[in-house]
Amino acid sequence: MAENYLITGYWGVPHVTSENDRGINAAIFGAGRFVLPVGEQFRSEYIGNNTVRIYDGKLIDNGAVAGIPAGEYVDLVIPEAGQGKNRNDLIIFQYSQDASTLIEKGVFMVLPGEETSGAASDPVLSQQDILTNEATLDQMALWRVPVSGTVISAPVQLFEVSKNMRNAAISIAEATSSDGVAYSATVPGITELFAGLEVTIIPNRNSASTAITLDINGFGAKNVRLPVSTNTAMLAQPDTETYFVEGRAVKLMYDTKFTSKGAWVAVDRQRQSGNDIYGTVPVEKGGTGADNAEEARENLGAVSVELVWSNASPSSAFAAQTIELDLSKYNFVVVGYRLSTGGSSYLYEWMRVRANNVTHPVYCFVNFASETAIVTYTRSAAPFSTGVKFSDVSGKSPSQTTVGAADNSRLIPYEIYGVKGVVM
Amino acid sequence: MYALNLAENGRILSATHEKYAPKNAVLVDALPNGDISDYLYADGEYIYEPIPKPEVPVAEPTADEILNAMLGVM
Repeated sequence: MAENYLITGYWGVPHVTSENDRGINAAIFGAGRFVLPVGEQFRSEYIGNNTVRIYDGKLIDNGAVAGIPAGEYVDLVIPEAGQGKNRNDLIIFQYSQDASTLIEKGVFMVLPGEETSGAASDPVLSQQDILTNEATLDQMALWRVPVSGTVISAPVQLFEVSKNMRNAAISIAEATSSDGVAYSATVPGITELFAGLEVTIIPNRNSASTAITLDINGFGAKNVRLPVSTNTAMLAQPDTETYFVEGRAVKLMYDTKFTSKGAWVAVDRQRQSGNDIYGTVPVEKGGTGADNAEEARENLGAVSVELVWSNASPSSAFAAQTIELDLSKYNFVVVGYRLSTGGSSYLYEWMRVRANNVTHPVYCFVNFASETAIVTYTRSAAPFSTGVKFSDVSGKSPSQTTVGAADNSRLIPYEIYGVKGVVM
Repeated sequence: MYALNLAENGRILSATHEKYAPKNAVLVDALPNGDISDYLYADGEYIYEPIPKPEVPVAEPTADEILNAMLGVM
């Protein structure tokens, strides 16, 4: 047991170990074996004479950093294969530790494969996790060099390049699909799906369904959904089948909680819940410009019918008079008449509100025993901006010019409605 | 409450409910019984002063009533 576990501190004697740095590096950059995005990134070049040149770069092997200094290179010789023989050689970085001295070492070298007359396969790497502090040998493949007889082919890259911190949050990949429904993409650096993981995909074709799925790095086809503004849990399918448009980038965030499968949720492209609209939607934007039905009807010019007067004693005679009303906001009035004070039959007359007292007669017909024909009763009404003017009732029959005096027990105004709205 | 529409001589022309009343309308708690046009309203009181009613012709029986009488249906 040590007595002092401080790493970044002064002890008076050297105390920082390679194990210390590897742990910190792995925490910052991630565990695994990868090349860092700096310098030539170990670019390879066949320069003749069976020699492959590896240019400068830096790598991390489970926290252990190694590299070829900037501007320098390492030349490695690839032996020819026998006539008619094939072989895959690997250019590798090899970590090793001397068991007796504990001295650690990193070299770039060729790991030769086995010659075969058939298809060559890669040699098996010896790999141990340096982070355990118990590894004595670990090999990281950088390039495969296929050799066929005397022919040495161009090296094939076997390593991944990590992102630096500036680009770490940006994962952009082309999403390919053959049917516009199921898309898949390969995004370097994503080794698992987790809540909040963000990727940006660029579809290779328009989608053809609202039930789009996306499979990143083979972790399974997940539904693509749009967030609904109601809350952070509600998701919805896109409204249109061509939601994905070829070549247009879409930023997605992974949601582990959607159903039991998880989903890719479009970022910054949510569907607005009707309940979440803040403020009123103007008429010119397809709304009503109001937050209540009355104002909405007013703004939209919808027809509105309102009762503006009711006869409190419809069983009483109704002589000529003016009912005072504010009809200035109405286009029409509808007057309901009870046919007689003792009756229960009604008729309604629709009239335009005018400024010049245009009268609108209304008629009813009664067949009396004392008459030889039907008697016609008439009352006129004239709606204008400040009220409705009613006349007395007059009656006529074919046998008499006028039936007695004004019979105001007929055609009793019963109720008056104001009608407003757009007049086309 | 009711609002009265009065003639110049105080005769009641019609009545409506308070919510339809114009400004400065005469408001009352109750209406007189019967035909309100038979009353005048003065100094807060109703004065019964009926106007002559036109003679009401007797209505002829309808075709249905004649048919029912012929069939003995009451």
